Amino acid sequence: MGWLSGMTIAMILFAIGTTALIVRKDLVVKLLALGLVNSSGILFLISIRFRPQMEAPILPVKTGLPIADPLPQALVLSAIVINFAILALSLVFVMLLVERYHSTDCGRIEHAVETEKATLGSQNLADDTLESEVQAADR
Amino acid sequence: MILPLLPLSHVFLGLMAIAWKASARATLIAALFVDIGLVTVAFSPAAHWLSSAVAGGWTDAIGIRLALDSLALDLLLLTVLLELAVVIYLWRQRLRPTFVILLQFLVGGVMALVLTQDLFNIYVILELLTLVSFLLVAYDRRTFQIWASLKYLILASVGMSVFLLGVAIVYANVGRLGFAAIERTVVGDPQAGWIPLAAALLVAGVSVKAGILTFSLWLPDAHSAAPAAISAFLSGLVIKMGVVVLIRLAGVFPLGSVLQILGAITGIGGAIYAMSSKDLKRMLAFHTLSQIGYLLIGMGAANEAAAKGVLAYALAHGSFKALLFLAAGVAYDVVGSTEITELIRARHRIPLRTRAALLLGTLAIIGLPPFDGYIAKAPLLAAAHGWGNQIILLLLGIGTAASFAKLLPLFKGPYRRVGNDPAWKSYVVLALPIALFLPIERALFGAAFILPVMDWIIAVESVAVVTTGLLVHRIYRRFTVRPSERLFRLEPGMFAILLGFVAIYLLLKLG
Amino acid sequence: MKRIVRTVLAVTLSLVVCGIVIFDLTIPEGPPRPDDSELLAAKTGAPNLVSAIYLGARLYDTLFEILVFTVAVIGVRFYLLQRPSTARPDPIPESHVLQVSAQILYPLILILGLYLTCFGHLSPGGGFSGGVVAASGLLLCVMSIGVDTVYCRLSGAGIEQLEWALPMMIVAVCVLPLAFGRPILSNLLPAGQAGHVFGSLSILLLNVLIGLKVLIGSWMVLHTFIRHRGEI
Repeated sequence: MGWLSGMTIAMILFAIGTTALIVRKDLVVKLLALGLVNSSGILFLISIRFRPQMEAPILPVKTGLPIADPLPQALVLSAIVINFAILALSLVFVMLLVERYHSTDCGRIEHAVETEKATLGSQNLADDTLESEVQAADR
Repeated sequence: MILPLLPLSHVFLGLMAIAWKASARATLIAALFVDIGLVTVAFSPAAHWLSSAVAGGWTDAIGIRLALDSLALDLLLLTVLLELAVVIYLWRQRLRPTFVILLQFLVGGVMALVLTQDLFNIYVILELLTLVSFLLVAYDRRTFQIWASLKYLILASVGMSVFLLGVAIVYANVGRLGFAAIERTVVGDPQAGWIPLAAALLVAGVSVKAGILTFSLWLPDAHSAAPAAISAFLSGLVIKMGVVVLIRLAGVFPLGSVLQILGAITGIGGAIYAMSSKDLKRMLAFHTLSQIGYLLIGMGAANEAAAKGVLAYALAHGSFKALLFLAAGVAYDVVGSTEITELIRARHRIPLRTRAALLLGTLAIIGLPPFDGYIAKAPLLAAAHGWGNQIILLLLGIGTAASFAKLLPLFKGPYRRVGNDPAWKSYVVLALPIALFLPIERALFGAAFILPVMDWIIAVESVAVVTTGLLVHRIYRRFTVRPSERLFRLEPGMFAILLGFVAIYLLLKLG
Repeated sequence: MKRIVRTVLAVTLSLVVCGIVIFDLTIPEGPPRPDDSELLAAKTGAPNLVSAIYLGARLYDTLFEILVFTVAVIGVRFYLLQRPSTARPDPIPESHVLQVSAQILYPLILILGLYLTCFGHLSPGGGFSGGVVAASGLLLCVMSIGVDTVYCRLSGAGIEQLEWALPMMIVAVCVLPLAFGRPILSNLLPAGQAGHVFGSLSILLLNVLIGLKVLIGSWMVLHTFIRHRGEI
């Protein structure tokens, strides 16, 4: 298939993603890199069963070509939903941290968390006066 | 074929708690009853209802197979035990529906994972467990909890992505995702080129969740930051899920000595960090890392007795680690801090039952003879062949004893009856397997299990290990050697995952 | 200095991992799938084999994935719904062109989502993609009408209860075949003539439930983010 298969591209994206996850200090960029790593895994899974000249896996197949493998496509559906969930939840936590420290710098947040943990005071992010709203939200 | 009912009942009851604002306690009790009922069926002769079958009546070629083997039985028992203990622990607290549904999803996910025999199903359930425990760790919404959770999520996602790459390669070469088919293909051609890479990716991916030191650098922060009941669940049960997946992988791929090396590193590293830790919950979390080392070395020694020892130790470790975490939670509520020096200084304020629970947990974890730590470690010590294994297991025992010797001052001094510990019933629930481990193990594994336990040599060895540990602690106190805590940040975590994968790959390729 | 060392180390390590996987990858040649496609289509009544797999043979997986989605919704609501953000930027007024075109487009997009969901077993589509398309349509509706109006109308219709009732219905659809003597997680309703819209009622039912679930879940996530941050 030549060297430029989907799997090669997926691994290059994986490498870019992990590099960015380590090197860049901004938390939002780290999340984008995480999304890139996850998506590269999905691309790898899809392209590992790719052959040229195949037909879509929908059954009345008019041409005589073989059918593409439907199983990785079904697996990828689950993986995409999982990636969406991870992205949404990590974004929520990054938002909470950034609002607390007014900075998206990972090193600064880490340092602040470690110094605060030493005191172990009541570092609550939740506000007790809004308990009723929390109850309403919990339904 | 009603095996999926085990996890699905938890899911359904959890959703009921949040959909109809049904009393949270009612759903917890209902889930407990369903569990106890189904697990009793699993242990009884009527277990043919729960035999292995493909979900939905499909074929093995496309469907997902669920099976109830001895590993699943062992962990189902542990799940029910921990569920009972945690429900009693949380009984008096005000439970929000969100907490109940997340807890039910956690238990349901654990049950689903031990039953499944399909590789991609493992991926999906591990991601579900990651997300649910990530939400539960940060439940009190304190800053350090949120940061610990976020680190956990990022590292676990990268690990699962690596796992997915492995699943893709396995699927391309085998054509099916069930373990039976993979095993058949691997046995048919053990020297095939794809096996080292796929096995390395899968092992590296799941090691992030399994609590192996170099991969799971998120573990000390996450498990010590979580609320007490959640820590008990995570350390006692959810970590075992990664180990379950490793056991299944070891049964399919020829992993050789990779597991033993990983076990040695995590055991000794965890013990060293535990010895120098000053915070009780963090020390317990480091201990979890160290005890996973026991399990991995037991798995690496591939014989029947060691396999049974691993199962027994998983059950035992779950019970005493949960006991320790729950008691530590109550102590934290009373004293206001989890630093060991603070706890020792304020020990007259801690209720007597809490201290008794901590004492029982400590005796169990260091492996003193009548308790279940010893009963579960004895087969591992007996079955681990080779001098390397024996030395490492002994070192682990010494390290465990040395680090828990720090807690000994907690148990002496004034014994006034102060305060009431509301959670003492859950201590009783967890203390039952600690004290009565032999009959439980006979029920699970038959009489053949008992033999290594009655070996005098191993008993003497265990007591010797404990005393050596106490001596080591005395010596260690002179030098304040503190290994670097900077290892547990985000970037070293990422480095460790990538480096660990390369190391495992080279081991598999050249070994 | 240390920064450069770390960067170089990260780049080399990532490239090493990438290289290992690229160069050691061995895939067997040959046609991809053994031929049980006919069996699959006949048993579920769905000509779209991908639907037949993830809603038929591997329904157990899909169930857990729906739970992952539910957990995401629970998490976003629990952590963000307490109090509004401390940083509230001034709302950017919508351009008139955007409002008018959104008002024209959103019913079409909602119908497209409905079509994708209902015909997911005959052509590519299904509950997930249909639900996401419908959620985009709902977002356009928010842009044209305003988030509070949409929220009041939807909450008045009981969308929050539906959000939690839908996974329960999906679990029930999975478990109910037990009452008919068939194993759990198999088809609840019998498969009819393949190729017809109502040819596979079970997969159609599941697609509709999943589409609704994705739509409502996405709406709740989006609404929580919007309300936390302020107006769009």
